[in-house]
Amino acid sequence: MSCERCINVVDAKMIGKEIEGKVIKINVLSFLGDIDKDTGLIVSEESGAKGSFIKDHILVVKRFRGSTVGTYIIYSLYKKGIAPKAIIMGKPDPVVLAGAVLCKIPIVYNIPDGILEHIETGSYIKITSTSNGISICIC
Amino acid sequence: MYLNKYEERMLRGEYGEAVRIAIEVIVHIGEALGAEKLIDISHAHISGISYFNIGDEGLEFLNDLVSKGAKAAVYTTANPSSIAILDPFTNVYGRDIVVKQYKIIELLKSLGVDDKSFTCIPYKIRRPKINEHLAWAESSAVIYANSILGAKTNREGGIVALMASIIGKTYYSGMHIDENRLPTEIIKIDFPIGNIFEASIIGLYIGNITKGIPYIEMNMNVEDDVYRDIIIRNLLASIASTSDSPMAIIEGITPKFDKIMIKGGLERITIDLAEAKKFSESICSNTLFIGCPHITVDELRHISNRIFLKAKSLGIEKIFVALPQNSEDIILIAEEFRKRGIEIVFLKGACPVVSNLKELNLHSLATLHGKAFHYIPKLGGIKTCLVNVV
Repeated sequence: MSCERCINVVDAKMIGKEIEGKVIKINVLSFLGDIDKDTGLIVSEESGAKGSFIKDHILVVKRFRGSTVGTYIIYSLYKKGIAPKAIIMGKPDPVVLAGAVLCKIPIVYNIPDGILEHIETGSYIKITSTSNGISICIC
Repeated sequence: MYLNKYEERMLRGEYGEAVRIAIEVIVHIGEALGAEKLIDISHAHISGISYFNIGDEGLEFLNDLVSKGAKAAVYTTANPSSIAILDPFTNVYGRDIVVKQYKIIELLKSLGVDDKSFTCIPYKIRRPKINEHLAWAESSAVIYANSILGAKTNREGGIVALMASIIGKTYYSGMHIDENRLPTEIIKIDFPIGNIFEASIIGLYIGNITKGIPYIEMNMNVEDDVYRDIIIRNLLASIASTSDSPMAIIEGITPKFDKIMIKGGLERITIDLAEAKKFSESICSNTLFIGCPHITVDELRHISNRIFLKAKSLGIEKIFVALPQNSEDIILIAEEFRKRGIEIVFLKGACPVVSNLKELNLHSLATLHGKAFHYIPKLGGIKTCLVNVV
């Protein structure tokens, strides 16, 4: 697949291998309460992505909120085989980071808001490490 | 990350498999967050106790860790469980759920969790001192510890707090470092806060707009210290429900607030009551929930007259009150309420918000707490409304 444009993000961090896949863009998210832990369906209106299943998708999350039980929910989704493919965020959230590390879900953080704005639900993106950050390609 | 010789031995598995797993998780998270080292903690507080939340996967995770020899290395408390194990509700939920909820609690006790805790206000069981390093989960307790007690804790995931308990350490990052405890904006509340209801709606609103650590200028027209503390607890718990904020600096209340450097050019936001009141609704139920975060028996006694005054006129017939596990018997208060035509059900060591409430044949539950208002529809599965009762 050819990618129409790539953006270099200096100082962004990535844990995991190269990532590529289809995006679900989320305005605000708590893994506890905003996602049905048995199906992986987003149930919160405020998320802006109600009705989407997170399985096999890259979650691009503008802001996290709320419960510290989120780490357990990520673990539970992973064990059921319905966890997201990767999670992309601005400021790293310790609750989500812990779940991702535990379940080896690739994670990208320190992405400025202005760049998150360019990524939309349904986009297909590729993310790779660079010497001083990451490169996000929208394909 | 720098590890001392003792920590390296932990990582090599010389102190057992559970310790090895625990330090590996903490080091991985710490490295991701840029931590240079680990630090000793004095108190861990674990969330993720309700079977309804963590499910079979969470139970298996705990079971596996305990079978590998996991033990708390420092003083450890835990959040409330679901209400499934309490007498009035065991028949409602059925044997399978009750047994699994008991199993989670027994595993935590075998790990060394203080069996008097099972509360979301661990600071009422053991009050940390200023500058003490903690590894606490439970967002409302984290924000209270940093903002009111001057202790230092990140908003840890439930599993991370458990791992930190097993090694007695956490990663040195975020809220443990003074330069990260600075305000991100100044919020002025344009009217005096006088009750839990107002604190809740303001807190939910602030959580929605803060970028991290709000510096809050506010007045409270409440003289009573016990009630003031409950109000502040609710303000903070509400902020933590709608944000990822681990701390708020409240002018005049946060320890050493006057020593905190406020950078020039911070955004200044003024909130008036009309703006915040979009969260409030009319009464939706004749059953009321009090205790989110938990309330102590002394606090309940203290505000019971305020409840008597309003609850009846709002048509409240039954009140669920959630309290810490170690709460003394409360027969006298219950009797006082009963005489006034209100049934009171005490939920010791438990929380209805983390329980399936549809099974109770409740269609809705009124509350005065912003946190409960935020989570009851999401986790309990029923309607709720925020009301001004005390």
